[in-house]
Amino acid sequence: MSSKKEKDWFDSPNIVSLVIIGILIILILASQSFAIQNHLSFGEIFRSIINHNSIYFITLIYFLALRFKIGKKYFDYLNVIMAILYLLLSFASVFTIFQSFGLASLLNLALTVLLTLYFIYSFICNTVFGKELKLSNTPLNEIKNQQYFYLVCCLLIAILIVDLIAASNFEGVVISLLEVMYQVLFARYIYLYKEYTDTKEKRFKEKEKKEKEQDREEETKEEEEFNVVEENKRKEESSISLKTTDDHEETKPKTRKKKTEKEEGLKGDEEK
Amino acid sequence: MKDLFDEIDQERKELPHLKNIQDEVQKPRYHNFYQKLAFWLFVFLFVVSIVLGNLFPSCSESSNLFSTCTRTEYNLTLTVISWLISFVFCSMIYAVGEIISLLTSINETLKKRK
Repeated sequence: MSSKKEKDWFDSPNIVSLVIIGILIILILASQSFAIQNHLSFGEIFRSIINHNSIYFITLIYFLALRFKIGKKYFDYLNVIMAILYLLLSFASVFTIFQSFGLASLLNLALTVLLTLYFIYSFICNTVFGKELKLSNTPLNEIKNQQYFYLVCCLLIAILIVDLIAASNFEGVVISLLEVMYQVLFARYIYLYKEYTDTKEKRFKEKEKKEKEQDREEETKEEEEFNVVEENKRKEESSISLKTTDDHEETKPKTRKKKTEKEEGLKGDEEK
Repeated sequence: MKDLFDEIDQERKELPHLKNIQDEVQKPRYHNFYQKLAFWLFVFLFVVSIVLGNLFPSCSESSNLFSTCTRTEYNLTLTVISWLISFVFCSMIYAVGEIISLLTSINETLKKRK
């Protein structure tokens, strides 16, 4: 029986990215139609559509690019552009506080700053830029992946509650719900990528450990074999040396006997 | 079936090293008046763009009853568009300065040969 791990739809980056694309399309179309329906002036419509929807439009282009080969090839470059965009968004949200000070704008600032830091932590730390700037040694790594995700979710719930209370019409409710859904899924996408890189690093370290252990085992085996061979050699040498000494001892009395016989022969000649 | 991140990992291209970018940017160059003007004009327009984004806010929430904006936010799009326009404008002034420096260097080489 083959054991397959059944993934939930929110654990699959494919499905999450597709759902994000769908929500972004609905969000852009809905916000445009609501702005036109409210009979705003052309300048106000243009400003609201361009400003609010351009961010969603850029994010939509990012996720659509990931579906194609060129987006996958320049994945790190796209992530750098997204990180710069989120830095600009957090910068813009600081100015929004001065324009319309309230709980909603403060929560929005906290959310954009947290999402920016989470995005950089997940996508930029493992790239060439992150390694050269030594981002892994910064306080970004003090908070774990799960903690980041749950912080973002808590902030989003708070923002949703505030927006629903402050919403004066149906359009406000719909737009705020869609925005929260998109941001939860975006945070989930960041979480899934960080999980993927962490598991990849763990597997790489386990492989290295196994290879090192195998190398050590091979070295110990070789040493043992070498030691056995050396012992055998020593035994052979010692046995050979013993044999040679025995041979020497056998040959030496023979020569002495011959000499005495010779001496006896010489003595006999002399007597004659 | 391969996951999205597995496919990305197979085809991903690494970013360039920061040192290479730094070496390219920090090459010693001589700037004439027009090039210096272009640089400082861009810095000025960069700040003006930030102010423009604040002066002309965008509408984040509108009211059906009053047909007006009930909540505004910083107009980041206007800021980014004005940055792009100022970059294009200042790069044109920088290009004029570059042409002038090239012409002066050609004039000097011709004088040396005479």
